Amino acid sequence: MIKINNLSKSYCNKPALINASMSLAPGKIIGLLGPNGSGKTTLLRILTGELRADSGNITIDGEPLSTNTKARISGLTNTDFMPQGMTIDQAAATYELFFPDFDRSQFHSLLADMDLAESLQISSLSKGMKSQFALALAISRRARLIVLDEPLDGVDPVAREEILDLIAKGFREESTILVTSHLIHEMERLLDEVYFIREGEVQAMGDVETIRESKNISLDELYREVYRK
Amino acid sequence: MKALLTYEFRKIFKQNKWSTITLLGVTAIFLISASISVRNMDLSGGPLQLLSMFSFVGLASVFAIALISPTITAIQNYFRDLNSQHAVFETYIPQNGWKRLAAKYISYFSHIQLGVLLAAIVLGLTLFSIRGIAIDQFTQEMPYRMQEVVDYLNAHRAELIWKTTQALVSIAYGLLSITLFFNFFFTLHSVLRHKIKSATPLTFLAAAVTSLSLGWIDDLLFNNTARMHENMASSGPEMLFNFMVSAIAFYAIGYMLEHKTELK
Repeated sequence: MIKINNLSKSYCNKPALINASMSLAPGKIIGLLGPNGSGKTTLLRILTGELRADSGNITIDGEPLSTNTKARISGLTNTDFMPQGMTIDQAAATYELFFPDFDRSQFHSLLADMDLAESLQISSLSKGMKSQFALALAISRRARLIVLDEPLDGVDPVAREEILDLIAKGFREESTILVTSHLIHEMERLLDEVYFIREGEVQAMGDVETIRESKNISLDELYREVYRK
Repeated sequence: MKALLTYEFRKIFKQNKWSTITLLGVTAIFLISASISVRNMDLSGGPLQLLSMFSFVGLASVFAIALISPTITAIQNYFRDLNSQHAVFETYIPQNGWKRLAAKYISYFSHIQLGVLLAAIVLGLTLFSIRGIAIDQFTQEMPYRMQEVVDYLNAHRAELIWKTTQALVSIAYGLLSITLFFNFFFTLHSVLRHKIKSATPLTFLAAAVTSLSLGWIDDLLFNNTARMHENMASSGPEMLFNFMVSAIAFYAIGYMLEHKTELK
């Protein structure tokens, strides 16, 4: 179980996260949904080690977040994150160098699905292709936690569908995927559980299927209802 | 560690492959033109003298670039590792801060050392290319002294090689210390930037104050005349002081890198 307890973070005294708490069980795709500037990316960047929390703690299977736990977290918080001048193949080789859980054969298979040649320079890829390539790298790791920040952001509807298929195909039962988005309608079919976040405050909404059955509305409608207030 | 070293060396190789090939090509052209112009020069002026001047200015530029550019690249690379988009990947790497830093500095030192070596080779070849004309002049003006110098060098060849090696390593070590000094403040900036709005001016201020303080301590501990003769690669007290300051900076950077730095 991955536990996030009372996590707070502020930028120059402006709070970005306020006592955020979450429990992430394995085998689930969990959505962290909220409008722009609500603190979604801050939370994910703390998980990947890009930012440090002001207070609170995170444990992965009981072990506090540290350099060792980085080996069990696969991050995608920026699609343009590999050193300049690399080809797709070199990026995969670099991943293989650092992450023993990187599954090269799965990466090859995902690339083939996307029609991306390994010899392509990353800098020559379009935004949508970069998103797909970065996502393939992230989900080809057999990591305990995979964090995906706005994987659908800035890509056309067809590419969005392909990205969602990619996530579904790459998902493993031993992993947890934590994904943020403000495109609820597209994300809905993928999610098992959902948390809403507004002005840094996280609220657990529960199981997506239960929400649909008990409230008889879609996640998209619930989101609009909550954020319209 | 092997993975980190491979990663850092690959990065440097990728960045410098073409610029190094270009620099070597340009050096070869300047050396050939210097050699031709020196051989055919009658010392009375004319186009060959102009070519000779052009060649030596070119070789001096190559010398300066080879000596300084790896240090600038090392400072730039470290800054990028904390600030550019690929800094995100650096934070994903599951390795301790000191290991990441050690791999970076091993690669920086190797690059700087290669630059110093190239600069020394360029200097040596430049002197070699003007050797003919110099010997002519020396043999006319002071053959006895020249013979004395040549005899001394022949008798102390091993010592000469050792001294040259020591000087080359010491220059590279000096340049690495400068890199470490700058990088300490880049790391500090990455720690401060999300906490304090004035992180950038504060970092520059801290760098300036530290630089002045270190200069003052240095002057206090070692007098200037002694310092001019001290070899940095020796085991003298100044070398020890320099090493201790570098070791403290290294530890502090490693700690901040692992526990405190934040990306933009």
